[in-house]
Amino acid sequence: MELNKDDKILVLEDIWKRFPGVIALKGVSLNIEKGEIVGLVGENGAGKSTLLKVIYGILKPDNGKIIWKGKEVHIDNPLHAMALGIFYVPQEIVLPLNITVMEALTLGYHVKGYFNLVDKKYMMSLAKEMLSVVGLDNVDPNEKVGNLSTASRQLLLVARAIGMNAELLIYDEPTSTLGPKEAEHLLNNMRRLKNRGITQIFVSHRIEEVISVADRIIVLRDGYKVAEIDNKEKKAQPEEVIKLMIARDIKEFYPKVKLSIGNEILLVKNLKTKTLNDISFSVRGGEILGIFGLLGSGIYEIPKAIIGIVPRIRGEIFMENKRVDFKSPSEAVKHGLVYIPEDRRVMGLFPLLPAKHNITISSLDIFRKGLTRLLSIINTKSEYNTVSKLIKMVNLNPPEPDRKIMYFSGGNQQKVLISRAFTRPVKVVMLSEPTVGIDVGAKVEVRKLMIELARYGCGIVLISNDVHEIYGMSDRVIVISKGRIVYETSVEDTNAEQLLLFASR
Amino acid sequence: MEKSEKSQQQSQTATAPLILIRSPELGTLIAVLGLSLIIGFVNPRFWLPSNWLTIMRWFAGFALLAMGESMVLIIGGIDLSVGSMASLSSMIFAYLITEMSWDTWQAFIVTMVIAILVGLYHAAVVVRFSPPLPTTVPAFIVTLGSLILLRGIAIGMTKGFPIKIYDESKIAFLASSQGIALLVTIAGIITLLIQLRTVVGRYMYAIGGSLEAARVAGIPIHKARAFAFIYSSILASITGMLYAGLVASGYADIATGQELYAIASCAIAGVSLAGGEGNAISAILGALLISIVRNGIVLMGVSPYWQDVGTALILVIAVIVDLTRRTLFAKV
Repeated sequence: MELNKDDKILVLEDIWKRFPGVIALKGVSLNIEKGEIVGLVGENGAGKSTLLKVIYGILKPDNGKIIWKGKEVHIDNPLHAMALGIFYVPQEIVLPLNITVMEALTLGYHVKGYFNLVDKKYMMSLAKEMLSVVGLDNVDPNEKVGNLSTASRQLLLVARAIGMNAELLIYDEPTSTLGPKEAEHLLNNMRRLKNRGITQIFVSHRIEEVISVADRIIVLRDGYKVAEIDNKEKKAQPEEVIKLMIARDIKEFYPKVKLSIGNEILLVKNLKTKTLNDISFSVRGGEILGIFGLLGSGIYEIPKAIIGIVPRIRGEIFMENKRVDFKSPSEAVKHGLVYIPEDRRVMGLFPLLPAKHNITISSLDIFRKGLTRLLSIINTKSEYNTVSKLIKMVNLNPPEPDRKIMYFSGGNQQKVLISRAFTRPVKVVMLSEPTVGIDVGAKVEVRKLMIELARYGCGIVLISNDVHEIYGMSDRVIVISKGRIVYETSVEDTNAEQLLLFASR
Repeated sequence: MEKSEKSQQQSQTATAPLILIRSPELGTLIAVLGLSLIIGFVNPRFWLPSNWLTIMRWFAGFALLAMGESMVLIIGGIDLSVGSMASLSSMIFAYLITEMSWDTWQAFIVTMVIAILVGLYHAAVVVRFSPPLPTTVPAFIVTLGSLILLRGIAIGMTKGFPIKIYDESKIAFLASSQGIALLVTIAGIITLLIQLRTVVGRYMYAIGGSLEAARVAGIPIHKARAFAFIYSSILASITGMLYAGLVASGYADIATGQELYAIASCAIAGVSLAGGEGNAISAILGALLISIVRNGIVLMGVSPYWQDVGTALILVIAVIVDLTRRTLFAKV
């Protein structure tokens, strides 16, 4: 097992990492060559994030060696990693929004001119140079960071890393918050950086992207490295990769079942907000209505306007032919309208609370006994019964109702969030990007839950910018572009290409 | 196989001492016991029943204020007005009994109603500006205003003079050990019950964990937060009346500065100042620790003027331990 380690920029040998109750990495070994793009894939909880954190010095491995450019290193913290030339591009970009692009790029440079003042001119040229490396030539360095798109901010971080002599870039699901065009831009930039000899590790749930850009694909499962696929000569097949990731055969990504469709439950008429215009649609019991639009189309604002988080300028909402006027989500919940937001970490979950409390929080009125609404005692026994039934139904892993929700993987967090809709009599469930940022296996499970809700006679509103998900799951689709409905169709009369075409108008 | 066993052991030995840090309640309890032993060793008078009566009188007030404060801290807010609320309540209570010759229970209820109104006012301002602001911003400002305002009213009522309660039969129960013990016990049970078992309790933890997620989940965030502020004011006013009973008078400075002890009691024993964590047990243990420290400083022959320094030291140590705990466990 003697390897020539000279052309390897990073070698990991037998890395172990244990957390209380879980072993996240079980003897993972990697060789990464200079200038290659390595795709790292695996389900949630497979150990991808842990591995990245070990490389970046956020976590220390319990056992194992890290060899960087031929020398064994102990990476103490991210600063140390950066000094070595290892940089991390996170999923959610943490940059101060109120500084300019130039300031963001040159933070930490301390380029000083006369009288110890910052040499603006030099910094400006430096910033321009860095921007052109990542193809952001059209961005004005005096622009505020807050005015840039997520994608541009990500590239800004990359530019900054390159400017600080990065040799290895680690991307942690950089495209999960981007639209198709922006994602492509980022991938192109990765190819460009590869030509400059920069080594890159790319983690993504979007298998197609990994296949399109990676030289080698490494598959993790349950903390083991289960496969290394050469993707340079011949492109790998997505099915093949997914099979390795989940070790079971999923034929149906979209477990759509045609159900008998009932009466109209939700009717929205001429909804208008700051960004939306004249949105009208209806949902029937047992029906899945897909609302499709690209990023910036305004799709995510539709459910928020209906339940009263975003103010409505005009518009009428009817539930079962009765006019309703929700001023807050609590009114909507009382009427049987549940909203599962797209940003589960900020708007969905209570990270400090255990899974069981996250599940029942919207329906405590059902589990109470007593006189008044707020001061009544929670019937923990019936609550527990419901929770354990739901945990079994959604296949929560690990099936521990008392574990704090922040210690679950993304897919399991999403299952908890969706099971909220099962705790009370619900008429309509609006799900915004229910499968974003979770692994393939969990995506299918979440979609099955949607079908399950429809089976109970619920009307489902599925809001997504994933055209395959919309096409694969919906009965009817409306397409939104620039805040307006541009197309409405039954799913039999359309195809994914057509939907995309309308959405990008 | 061999390797995994070895490291299993490693991780166990590593976590054993950390359990103390993991549970701030346990840590505080150990600090209470340890300090008691040390103080008792230096000055055996510490263990005399009469001394414990003194400690318990301190403790009763701190514990009541801290339990109310814990409610507001759990929702992610802060109540800086509890000291002034207590002072004002002692004045109103004494005024109603002495000047108006009301019965004790009448004065008790009216004083409490005034506290409820103050709590409602706090809640109204907080709810008006939050969201979009986090709860703590308007909470800090409005209760800071009340800290000054309520004490100002208390001083203004008699131009700063105390109101002596001459008819001590009216406050005999409030001043008796049994009365105090009963009040604190009942308040403790009710507070804990609300926090751990009721709907509004569950709501409060959720709100403190994430206001935005609570709103989206359909929680009545305004009502639940109003409840916390009102509860805090009520317990503060009960504390004030208890103090009035103990010293047989109402006095505008009777609880001045005690909001800080209330917040400290909570923070020491695990009520997170960031919201969403901790309960009345933490508040009670923290109040006990502070009472013992203040008593111990006197018993160990240090001038009572150094009491605040001792309290502050304990607080800083506790908060550092708390932050260590967070960095160790919260972000794995």
